[in-house]
Amino acid sequence: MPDLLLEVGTGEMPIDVLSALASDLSRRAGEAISENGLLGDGIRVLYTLRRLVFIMRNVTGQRLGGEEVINTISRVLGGIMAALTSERAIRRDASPADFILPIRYLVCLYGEQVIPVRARNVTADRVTRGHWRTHREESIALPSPAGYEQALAGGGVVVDPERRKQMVSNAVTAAAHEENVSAQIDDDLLVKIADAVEYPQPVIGRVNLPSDLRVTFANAALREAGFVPLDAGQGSDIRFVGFADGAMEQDVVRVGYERVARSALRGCKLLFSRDRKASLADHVRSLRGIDGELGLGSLWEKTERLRTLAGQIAQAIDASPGTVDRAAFLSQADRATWIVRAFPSLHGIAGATYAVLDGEESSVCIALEEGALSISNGIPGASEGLAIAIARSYDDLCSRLLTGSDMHDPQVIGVVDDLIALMVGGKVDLDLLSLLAPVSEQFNIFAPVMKTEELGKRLRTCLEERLVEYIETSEKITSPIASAIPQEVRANPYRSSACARALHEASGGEDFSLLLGSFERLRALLPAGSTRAFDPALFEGESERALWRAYLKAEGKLEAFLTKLDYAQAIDQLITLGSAIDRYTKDIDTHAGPKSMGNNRLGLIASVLDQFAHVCDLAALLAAHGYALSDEKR
Amino acid sequence: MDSQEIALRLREFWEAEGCPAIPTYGSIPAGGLTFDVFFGILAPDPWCACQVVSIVDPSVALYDDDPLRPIIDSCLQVTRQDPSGDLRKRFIESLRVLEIDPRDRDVRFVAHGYDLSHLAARAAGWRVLIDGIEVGSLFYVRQLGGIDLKFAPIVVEYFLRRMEFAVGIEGEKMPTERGRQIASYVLEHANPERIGSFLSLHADECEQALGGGLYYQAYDHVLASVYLLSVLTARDGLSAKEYATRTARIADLARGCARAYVEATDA
Repeated sequence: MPDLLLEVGTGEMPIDVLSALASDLSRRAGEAISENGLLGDGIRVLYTLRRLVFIMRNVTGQRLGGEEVINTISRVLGGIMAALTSERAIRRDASPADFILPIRYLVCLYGEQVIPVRARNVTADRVTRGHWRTHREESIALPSPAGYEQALAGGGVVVDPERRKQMVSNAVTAAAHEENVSAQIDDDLLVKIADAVEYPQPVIGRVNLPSDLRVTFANAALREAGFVPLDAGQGSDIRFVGFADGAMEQDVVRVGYERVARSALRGCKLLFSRDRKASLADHVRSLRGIDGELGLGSLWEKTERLRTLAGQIAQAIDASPGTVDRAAFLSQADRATWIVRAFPSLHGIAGATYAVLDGEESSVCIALEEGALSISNGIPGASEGLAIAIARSYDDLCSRLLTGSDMHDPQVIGVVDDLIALMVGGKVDLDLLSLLAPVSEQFNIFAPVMKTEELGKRLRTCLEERLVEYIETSEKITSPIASAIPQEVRANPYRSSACARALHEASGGEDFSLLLGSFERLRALLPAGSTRAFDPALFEGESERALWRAYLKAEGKLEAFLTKLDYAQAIDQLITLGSAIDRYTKDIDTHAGPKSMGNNRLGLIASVLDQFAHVCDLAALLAAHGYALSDEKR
Repeated sequence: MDSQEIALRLREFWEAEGCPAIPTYGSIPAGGLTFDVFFGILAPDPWCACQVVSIVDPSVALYDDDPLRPIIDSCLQVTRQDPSGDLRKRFIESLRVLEIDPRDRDVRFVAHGYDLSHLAARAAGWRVLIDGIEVGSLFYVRQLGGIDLKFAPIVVEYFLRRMEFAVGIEGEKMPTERGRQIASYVLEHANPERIGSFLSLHADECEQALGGGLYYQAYDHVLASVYLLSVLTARDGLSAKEYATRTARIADLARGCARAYVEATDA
């Protein structure tokens, strides 16, 4: 069955939207093709900064004949090209469409056949183009989609972004090996380099590290300039790898790259010197004039919120309140510095460095650095850094939710996931909703009251949804178990995680299965709306008194176990209630005797079930399992 | 080959391409357009020209007139409203008159959304880098002074001071004294409050001039405002809101200039 290839040849497009553009084109094409009665095996998304490519394997018409298939493809892809290049698309300021136009050429092949798709005044044929500089944009005629990538590679173009990333990564590793140093390249920089070229060619350069300039700062400046720094010790040269687009005169290009690198380091040092004319604390004043990212006031107001939040968190994790408050006060200050404005990735590192130079206490400096790091760098080791990191994530999440971000927005999800990971990894036993009250007035200044009232609900929903996901993916615990986490702890990720792990462990045992049965039988006796009040003096039968005694015994122990987050022991304690429950459900008719006696029995049952509810939501587990009384024969 | 020689060769190249050289202009702020270009683009007929102009960019004052981020740079600006021909190809051809062989060098066109919002303009295009050094740009202007352009022009720029590196001048360049003084003024001595007042005065004067139909004189105040806004931003780091408000005010003035010119010339 033939493959389908569409290549849109353009001028250089903005690299920050390349991947999204290519994915969007492929998604639209894939959907439109399947909606029009065609089938295909799989889609490949390929691109460079000068071309967007869509490939679909084994395309056939379900009930369409050969000619109809071709006409359908032509119509569908023509419609997509028209939308891509519409007047509406290019009305937006500097939209990607501004760079797609004019389309330089189109290739559209279905097997060996050209599909004459049109866009503006360009009609597709089978001729693609080689690298504009190294191969003078030579014409390459493609017999069919098969061998497309190899044909372009012969023309000096690597069209697969993953392959280009691999080439960059390999070149950096080889350069580091040759220079006998180590090198790290983060994914953002890797993508930035790989997307900026059609054929990455490494050029190794060397610059002097200016005196007094920290290696961390120098590396950030080099990365910003698009170079990969190789490790260097303070006081020595810095070697770096730059990537040209295609073959060139290495020695000539190296001179240019080294000039750019020197300029970057010189600039970095100037920014550093200028920053040092004031202390980090002095920069806090400037935060009033810098807008926060999400429109909730300036960075000054954000700082005040962080102080409130971090103070609350510090109490919960036994961190030094003085250190946490000082670190929170300084936590945004480096964003007013010139070096962080130029190199945002230095936020936190610059603050910590400046704090050290200012003579701030070392615990404050550590909290500043750890508090600003992303979760990918690990959980902060110091409790003060952890308090800052949690406060930062929490403020970010609330700000996003207050300003109308959708709970399923990828950025919101990312922030919630970070927050949950920090709470669980940092073993922070804290209900996140409890943090809202102290800080709500500070949010209220910027958001209508209705919205802040709504915030609690949205925050809860958001945390609950992502918590289940986190427990399933990070802790490898199935969703029915995750669904049995009690409602009352779902805003406390660490406690939820502890509960889920204990349930997971216990759920394999026979005792637990029996407990489920006991619970279900007891629950079946309780009508909705029953009160929790009961008078032990009214109990008549031994089974009633036995359950009451077991309840009393369990109540105190459960509280102690839950305080210690020992959910395993708590579940064991529930299991010990099982025999008393079974005897009770077997012997006692809850409706027997006067109504007051019946209500008294129901009061005891409700109270016993409340003890279960503090530990786990067995009703949810039963519902998820489809468990029924008739199953209980184990 | 120094910057004067580079300018001369490029001017000859573009003159041969049908873009007449017009007299050198003094200084304009980065993000501004000379009188000739602003009103030439708005003229009723397609307009082509090349012109050397001095561009002053206070926003890079922090870098102390770094040769790769100069506060003052000489620029050869080519404007073509003629839709025929591939200007990108012509740009690459023009490098050959500077004895730059693109096959040997890392020549890049980096997509860039040019912010000309203070001129009520929409523009997009490419920065041109040779071996990592930004030596020029190509951008087309879809709208200027709030007016959708009948013939969207492409503006080609060569930054002559930086182009010297690309043609192989060795050694480091020192910051210029004028550049240093601008940097010192912007970072240490400029008075933000007074500059704010100057911006208001320029706006008033611009409107006064427009009231008399004097669009050239009015545009002078637009350029002065663009410069002052740049100084204010570099000095104080304006908040996004304040920057947007001030930019919108200048854009209104630019719209007024464009409208007055179009009405006067019945374009």
